[in-house]
Amino acid sequence: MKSEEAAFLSISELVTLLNSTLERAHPRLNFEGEISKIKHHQSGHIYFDLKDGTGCVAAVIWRSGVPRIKFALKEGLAVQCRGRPNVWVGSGKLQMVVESITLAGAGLLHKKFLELKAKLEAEGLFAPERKRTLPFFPKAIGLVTSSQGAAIRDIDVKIRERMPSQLVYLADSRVQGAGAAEEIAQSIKMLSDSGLVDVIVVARGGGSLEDLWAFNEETVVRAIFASKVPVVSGVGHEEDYTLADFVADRRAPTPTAAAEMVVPKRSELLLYLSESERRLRDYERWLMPLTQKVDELAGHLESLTKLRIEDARNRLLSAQARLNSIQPGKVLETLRGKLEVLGQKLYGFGSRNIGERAARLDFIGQRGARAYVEYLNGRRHLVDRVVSRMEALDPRGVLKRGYAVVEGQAGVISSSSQIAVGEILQLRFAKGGAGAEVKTIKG
Amino acid sequence: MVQKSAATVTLEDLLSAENSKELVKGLSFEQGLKLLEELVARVESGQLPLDRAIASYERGAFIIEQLRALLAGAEEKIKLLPK
Repeated sequence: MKSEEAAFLSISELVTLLNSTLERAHPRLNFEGEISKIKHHQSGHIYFDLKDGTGCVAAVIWRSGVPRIKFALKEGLAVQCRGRPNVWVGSGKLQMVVESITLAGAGLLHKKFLELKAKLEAEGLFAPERKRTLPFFPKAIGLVTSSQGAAIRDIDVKIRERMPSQLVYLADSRVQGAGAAEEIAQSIKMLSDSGLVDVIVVARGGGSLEDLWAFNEETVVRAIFASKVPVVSGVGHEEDYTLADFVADRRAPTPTAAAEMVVPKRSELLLYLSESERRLRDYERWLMPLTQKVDELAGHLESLTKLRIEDARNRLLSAQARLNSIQPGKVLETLRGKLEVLGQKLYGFGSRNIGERAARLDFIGQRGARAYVEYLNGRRHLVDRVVSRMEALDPRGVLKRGYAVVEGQAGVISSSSQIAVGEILQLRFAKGGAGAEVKTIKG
Repeated sequence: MVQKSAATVTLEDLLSAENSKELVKGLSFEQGLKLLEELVARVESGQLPLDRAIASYERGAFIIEQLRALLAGAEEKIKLLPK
């Protein structure tokens, strides 16, 4: 107040001063109202008015904040905002810079969500230990979604891509709006009771919290809990969590992901089967230990047999050698020699003096001596017979009995045809010989 | 749909069963796959007596045939669950 002249501010200074005063006083305000006159500017910023029955204020959402909005801003929507006041120098108009915006009532819904979640959690509906494993390859899948929605298209595409033969039963259900929760719950129960399917997929495409609300209703959660077969939830986008997700046996971030979760890839299974078949057909490999064993045994057998044959041959050779070494003439000679020794012993014994014999007999004893003498007599008789038989074979024995051997030019004569008249024949007697001339020949 | 009776079929059951083909036909895909896996591993170990190895081979080939048949079904359209 000291200098009135110096107190004039330029307009831009004025607006800037007011702006900073306002911003400092109210760095963050919560306010709610209805959207009107919404404009999506080319720059990406969104301009609109917020009003209630009597008041109105301009508002802006800078481009950088637009991606965080989870619903479509529309004329007439009641919204709750957080932001700060701003006066733009260029126009001097007040506007609210909105940093976050949600649908009015969302806070209430969120509170409801948390309360129900706590209650069901306390009852054990979300317990990890009751989560069932999904069938590896379901014979049929039960699908709970709207035949008009985006989810069914995504799921069908994914299933046909992975397993064209997969059977799917659709329980067509509205997935948003009044009565949707009851329909979803009913569909789950029907599929579960039908016995047709061994897994159920509950799905819905992305949407706002209100759009997905049916999947937060107690009746849906309890139907999933009561299902006789495992349930997979695939509701909204990755970042959306519903109570259906908590109670489901598996939560898929999207409907497409749910399809991937419940259906195996046929190409992979076929590949695996081919690989198994190849391994099974690989006789060479799995028979190797057996063939090796057989080869080993065969080797043993062969070497054993060779040894046996070798042994047999050696024995044969030695037997042959021994056989060859035995000469019949030698044997006779040996026998004759033995006979002679025996004979000499016998005759020698007979010529020994009586004293010696008596002493010997005394020594052996009366009975023994008799038996001994008898035995000796028997032996002597045997020798005598052998000697006389051998003598009978001696040609000289024959000559002794008066026969003669006649020899001519043709050798020993046994027929008159071997001689001629006038031939000189040699006669041999047992003792000596004579020459004789042939005078006549008879028949 | 849930085959509880077949859930307990072991490799031993399969190898000693007279009616192994009937047994295999009653299996779910997953059970068949599991048996096949065990069977191939056993055969490859080379520890089985020859007759068991051959029986395993035959049964394995039949399982593969059955599993392929399960995969080869015609393209199914989505069926509407009758209400």
